[in-house]
Amino acid sequence: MIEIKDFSYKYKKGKDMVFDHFNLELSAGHVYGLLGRNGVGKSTLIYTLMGLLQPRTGFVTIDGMNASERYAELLRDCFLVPEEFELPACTLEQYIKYTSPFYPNFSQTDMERNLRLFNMEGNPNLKALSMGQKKKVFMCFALACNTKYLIMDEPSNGLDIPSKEQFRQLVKTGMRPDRTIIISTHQVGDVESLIEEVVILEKNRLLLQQPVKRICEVLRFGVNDENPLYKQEFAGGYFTVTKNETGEMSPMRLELLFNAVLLNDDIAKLF
Amino acid sequence: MKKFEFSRYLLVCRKQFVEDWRRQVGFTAVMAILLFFIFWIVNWQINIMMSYDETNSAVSEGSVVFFSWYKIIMFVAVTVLAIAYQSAHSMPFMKTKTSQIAHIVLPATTLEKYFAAETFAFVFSVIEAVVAFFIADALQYALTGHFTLTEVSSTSLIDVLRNFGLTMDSDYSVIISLSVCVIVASLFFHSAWFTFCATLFRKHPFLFGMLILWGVNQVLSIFVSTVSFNFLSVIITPLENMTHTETMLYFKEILYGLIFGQLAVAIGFWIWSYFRMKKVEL
Repeated sequence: MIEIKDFSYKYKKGKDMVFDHFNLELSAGHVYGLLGRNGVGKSTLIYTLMGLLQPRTGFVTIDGMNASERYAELLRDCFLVPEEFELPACTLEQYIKYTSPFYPNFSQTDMERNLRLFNMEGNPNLKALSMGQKKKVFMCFALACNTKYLIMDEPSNGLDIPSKEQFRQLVKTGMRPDRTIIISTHQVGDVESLIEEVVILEKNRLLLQQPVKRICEVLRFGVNDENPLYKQEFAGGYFTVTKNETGEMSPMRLELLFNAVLLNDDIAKLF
Repeated sequence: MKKFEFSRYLLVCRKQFVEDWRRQVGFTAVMAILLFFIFWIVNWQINIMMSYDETNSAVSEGSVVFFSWYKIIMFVAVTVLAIAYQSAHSMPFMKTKTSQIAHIVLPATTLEKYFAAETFAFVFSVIEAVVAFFIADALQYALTGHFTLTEVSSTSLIDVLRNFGLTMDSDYSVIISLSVCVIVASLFFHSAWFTFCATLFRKHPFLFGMLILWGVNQVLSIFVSTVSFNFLSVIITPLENMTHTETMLYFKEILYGLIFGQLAVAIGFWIWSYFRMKKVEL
């Protein structure tokens, strides 16, 4: 379980607090979609979870361990796929050989399966790979480490269109009941089908944290519905968000939900 | 929670080695080439000197002794330089955001990562200095052939040391040993100072470290000249009036001061560097 209590953070060069006495709890075994506008603090939150940033006040704990202490026992249960990363100048086999021992649950079988999912073969030199290929290799490795917590920042950036579907397959395959996956992204369409719980951040506050099921119970995502709480124009009319009064569940449109919650404060109050 | 686990420390060392060995090979090669040119110039000079008076054994012997010691001094200088440079680059992960992320999220404690970086900087620099020294020596032998410093040092230097040891009384041998300790302490000091610079400057830590050392040296020189403190008069004049035992004690005190002073400052910088690394943020 991830617990963020009374968390405040301000960058040294920044004027404003990114977080000011912020609270959040994420229970184990779900795929969380962490959404928010640019600069709202999604990456800050992720980096703090991994001990890369130290809270100015409050604390961030993962399974009861203080994240800012950077315990090896905690880090081996967490894996971060940042938006930008570096891979060393060595072959994939070498990389696996010297990095995997840090992760006690690493599975070579899973690694091979993951690489097959992305149609990647052989033992390439990591430096020679394109950015998209590097990302695939890194995500394959991240999932094969079988850490309890997997945190991904903009995972679909840099992937081509077929690879985005492969990425979704990869995450679905790697999902286990005891595993928590946090995906921070602006490319909501790429991860829509993966997310089990939506977390929307707005400046210094938690705007919405609800499971997808609950969202679909309360809201209806339709086209040209009457009395919309929010509507978004498209060529054939409007995508609409209305109160779900029939109890019939409609498939959630994450982008629509995000815009609706940001622009209409009343929507978050329905939960 | 264990602060230090040896097996994890070895894993970090191995990871660092696999990722960095190319740079290490390059560094050794550069050192070897640098040394080769120094030896080559020295060799050239020695040949000129000996060609003036080939029959004069005193000149030959003098040259042999001088260049034997010269090589040892060169080796020490190169090792100090190597340690300084390697320590200044012992934390490449501090340079960019992506490398910092990769380093911090690696499942090992800060202490393990710090020790691995230090091991790499210190042990490898010494090994690399030795390897570079022998490569340079072998190269100059291969290219010049007719006169090798290796021969000179391997035969005459041992004789020189042996004879020197026989003629020395125990006080002098203590001073020689202490001088070696001063050199070793100097290695530690440079390692610690440049490690600290690695945590302080993201870019050009070696250059900035050198500049600061030079600056401190200049300030100290000005200070010494201001207080009209003449080291030469202190070192030379009192010795003339001292008994042999007093002189020896005096030298020993100075050497002990240098050793413990350097070690104390080194330990301070190492601890400081560790805490800077521990508290580092993106």
